[in-house]
Amino acid sequence: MKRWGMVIDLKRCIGCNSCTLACKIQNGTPPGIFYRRVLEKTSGKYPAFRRTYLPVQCMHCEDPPCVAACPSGVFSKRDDGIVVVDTNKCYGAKACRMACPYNAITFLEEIRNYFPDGRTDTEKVWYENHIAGTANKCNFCADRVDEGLQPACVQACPAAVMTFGDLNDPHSEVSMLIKARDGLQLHAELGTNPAVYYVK
Amino acid sequence: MSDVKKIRTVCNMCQTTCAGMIAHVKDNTIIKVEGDPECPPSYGRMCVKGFSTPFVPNNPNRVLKPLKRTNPEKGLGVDPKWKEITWEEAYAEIVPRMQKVRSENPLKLMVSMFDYPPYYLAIPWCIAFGGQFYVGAATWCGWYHNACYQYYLSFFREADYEHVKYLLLWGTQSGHLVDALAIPAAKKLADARVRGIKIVVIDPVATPAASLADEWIPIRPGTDGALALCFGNLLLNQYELYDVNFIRSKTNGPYLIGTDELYVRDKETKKPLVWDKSKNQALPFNQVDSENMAMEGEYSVDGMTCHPAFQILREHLKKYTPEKVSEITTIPVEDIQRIAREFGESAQIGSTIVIDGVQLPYRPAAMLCGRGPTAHRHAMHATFALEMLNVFVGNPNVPGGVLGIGANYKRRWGAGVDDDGIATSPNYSYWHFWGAMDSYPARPVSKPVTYGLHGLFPIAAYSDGMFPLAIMDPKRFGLEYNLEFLITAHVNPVATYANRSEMVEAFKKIDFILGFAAEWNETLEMCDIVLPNAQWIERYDPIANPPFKFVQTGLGDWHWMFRRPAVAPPNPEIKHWQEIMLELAERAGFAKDYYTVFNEHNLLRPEYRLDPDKKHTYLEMCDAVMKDRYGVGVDWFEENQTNVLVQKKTIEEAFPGPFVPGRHNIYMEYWKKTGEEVRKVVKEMGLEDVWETDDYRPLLEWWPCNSYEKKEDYDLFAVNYKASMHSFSHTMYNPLTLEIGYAYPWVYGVQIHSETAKRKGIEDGDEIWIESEYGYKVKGKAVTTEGIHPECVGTMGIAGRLTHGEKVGRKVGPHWNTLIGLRLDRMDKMSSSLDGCFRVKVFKA
Repeated sequence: MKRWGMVIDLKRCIGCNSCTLACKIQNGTPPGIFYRRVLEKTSGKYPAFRRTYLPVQCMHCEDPPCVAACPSGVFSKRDDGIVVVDTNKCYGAKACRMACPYNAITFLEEIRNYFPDGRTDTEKVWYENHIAGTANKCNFCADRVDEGLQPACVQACPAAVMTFGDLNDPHSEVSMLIKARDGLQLHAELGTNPAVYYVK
Repeated sequence: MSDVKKIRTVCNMCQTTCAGMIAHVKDNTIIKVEGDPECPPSYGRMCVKGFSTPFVPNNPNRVLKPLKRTNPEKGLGVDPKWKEITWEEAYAEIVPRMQKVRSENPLKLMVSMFDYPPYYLAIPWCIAFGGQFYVGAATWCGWYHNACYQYYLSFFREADYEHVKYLLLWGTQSGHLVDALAIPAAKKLADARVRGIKIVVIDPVATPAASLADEWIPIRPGTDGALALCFGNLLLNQYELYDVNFIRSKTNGPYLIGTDELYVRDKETKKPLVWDKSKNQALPFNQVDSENMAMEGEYSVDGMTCHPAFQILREHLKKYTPEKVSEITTIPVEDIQRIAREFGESAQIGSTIVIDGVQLPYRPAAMLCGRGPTAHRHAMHATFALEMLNVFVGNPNVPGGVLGIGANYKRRWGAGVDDDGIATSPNYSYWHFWGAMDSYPARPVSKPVTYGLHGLFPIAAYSDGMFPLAIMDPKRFGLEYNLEFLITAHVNPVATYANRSEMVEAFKKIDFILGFAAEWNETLEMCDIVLPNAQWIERYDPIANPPFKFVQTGLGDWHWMFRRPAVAPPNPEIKHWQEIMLELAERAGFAKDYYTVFNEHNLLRPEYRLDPDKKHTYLEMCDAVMKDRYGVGVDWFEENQTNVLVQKKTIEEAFPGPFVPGRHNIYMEYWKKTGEEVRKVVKEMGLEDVWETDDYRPLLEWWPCNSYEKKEDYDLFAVNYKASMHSFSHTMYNPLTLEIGYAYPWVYGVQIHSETAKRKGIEDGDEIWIESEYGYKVKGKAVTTEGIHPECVGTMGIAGRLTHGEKVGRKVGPHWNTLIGLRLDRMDKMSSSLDGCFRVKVFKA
């Protein structure tokens, strides 16, 4: 059985946010809703000043705390490891947001528009799939993956920061990268076993 | 969704045209865009700006109908009181005015445009009319182009990211999505990082590029030229890390220079002489093997004492000592020495590499600079001082070095050489146009006849910077006519050059302004008639990447991109502005001239020429140029439903360095000669008190700019920078790119060094004023940081839009250009650069 996973190469990332918008367009999310973000951390005294960029999203944990926390079964893990969302089941308990150690779940309070004059035709199509008062998150572009495509962020990245593939295949590009460059998981100590790895 | 059409096209969210795009369209609405995985050189990748495309066609900031101003008063914040008119009414306003101007003095009409794909149409239109051209956006573009032409034989260049091991990014974020060919460059530079490249960034601001680099070297603004000359001194005199073979065989280094600072020439052939060491005599350069050319020594030719240019340059640079330059730049002596040494050593001078079975010089160290270090009063000197570092290590157009874009497309054009043996770029013969003119050889000097004062800028790639000053006082610059008619398209000079109120005063002097508007901007508010323009995603741009800038360098193929409309404009009357320009030429009665000039300007071979007596469409005109250049036309792209034509690149095209004839100028003899002519004309015009010509000298220098010293409490410099999500004003009207910028305080805020802020009692998040020595001020939110030179405050360059029609993005962030005044004494009289250095004071609002 496959387990889909991702390796994010921080050595390549330039913090440009192409992935952030690729994700936004793929999912047609309303203002303020991002399933993927690029965090910027600054450190060091002048002139040894540094910025580090950290792209974050749902980690598609092997043991996802959101699945356990949600009282209405919004989240479920597919056999291939992708943690998917059924927003129709969500009644806004927000327990998932408390449970997720990665701050990966967004909550859509209300659907706002991008322009003050009302909803553009593009947004009319986009927001059909969104329900105010519900939680949502990255689903690894499950529809695209099922078609044999890569997630939108992976394809888009100008610097080819992300690699997507089967973690259970020791010869896959993701597995080889994790092995060769000591892939790290965020908050590995929590035992959630994320499917997203970082290499530096 | 089966009712969704997928259309292959090419992104145009910034100027670089680097990504194939697939637009997903439902009921004439773009619901998604993605990179086109089949389109090289982007292969499915696309940047943050490209992904904001869905809000390009349906942005409420658009103009949908022809509009006429009914309020004759023009000014910032003055309501033009637009009235909708029909197209026929618009033509009735425009055409008779055009005809009047053309019969009186066609120079009274100016076309200002920064829409790259149709340059090959708009320039011939302008020439056929008899008018003049003003890019209107090149004023801050970066004067490095002047040196690019000469060293890399192209208007633009990039590093050979596939082979470079040491990259010096100087006031630029190349490879970080803010320069030409952004997508392929980002990928190649990321590959290089993993491979272990060393990147050093010299910049007053810790931009993302600087703060991700191996090393950030903060520098005091306006002192880059001094640092470059010091690096040159160290390479040539202290570490002896220079490519002597390259300098001897590919530069004018061996040419003998007399006491008059000019070439010593052969009496008969008039060729510059070199000293032949084997024959012990002076001979024309073209009669001596370069190995025998003397690079040092003192010689006598016909009684004149002379020295090789290289020796003179080497001696000249000695005064730029690390100790002196450290004081000027604030960079520690040991850092200056170390970086010069690292750069020189990394170049592996003398090494070779075999690519595709061909042995080539291998110089894996490259310096790229951008606008920052070159936007100064002495810009021409600074530009060449920086770019000459690449020449010293012999890296131009070879693997690992710096590669000119489209420098040697042999199917249709190649580089050349002049009588003095100096290299000329293909631009000189092939796609020459106002706004991107070759900087060598010098053009004739004359009393200006254009508002760009081109006659006084014989060696500049463009002299756009002079336009607002010329229009405020034309007689002073010898212009004996008024500008009566301006056509603007895809430019916003009122906001993108200098202080808006000064620019508005200049634009008020023009009798009639016609603006083509895809969306509102500050410049359009000065127009008399505004005509709606198609957005790029609604139009055919069959030659989407003009060859002088946007073709991948180095290994790989030639990629000729083709843009097709993904959606129809919201109003069927909206067309590509070039179609309207063609209609204007027909109606004003000069279409025949237009077709004739079009054929000539594009150097069309006879079989592709348009019949000037017939009427042609926009697409027919594109088709003719494509067939001549590529061998295929519009039909080929449509039949194959592709957005790119791929042609195999040869090694000679990928790395032209060893294969093209001609030498590069390291001793600027032509500046000295040209300067004499400029001096003469300036004197005749009575401008000698305000038009300094001292910079026209053969050896490079650094001088402090007008703001080098602190002025009372004006103790800081205001600098600006780019951010990945923004390029040009239009991205500030797009809510998607705008929203991304809000994630980082430095994008729309004012960066100030923590210590400087503390001294001034400013805390992070405080509203502060920046007030410039010109008396202008802007407000912004303080972002205290360790990532900026303590003598600077920094803002993003294009924030702070002020257009009235704007639905989003208005007044977001401070407008840097507001701070800067247009003053003749702050301008470089060689390049037209306005000095970006000025002093400011900062205080809490």
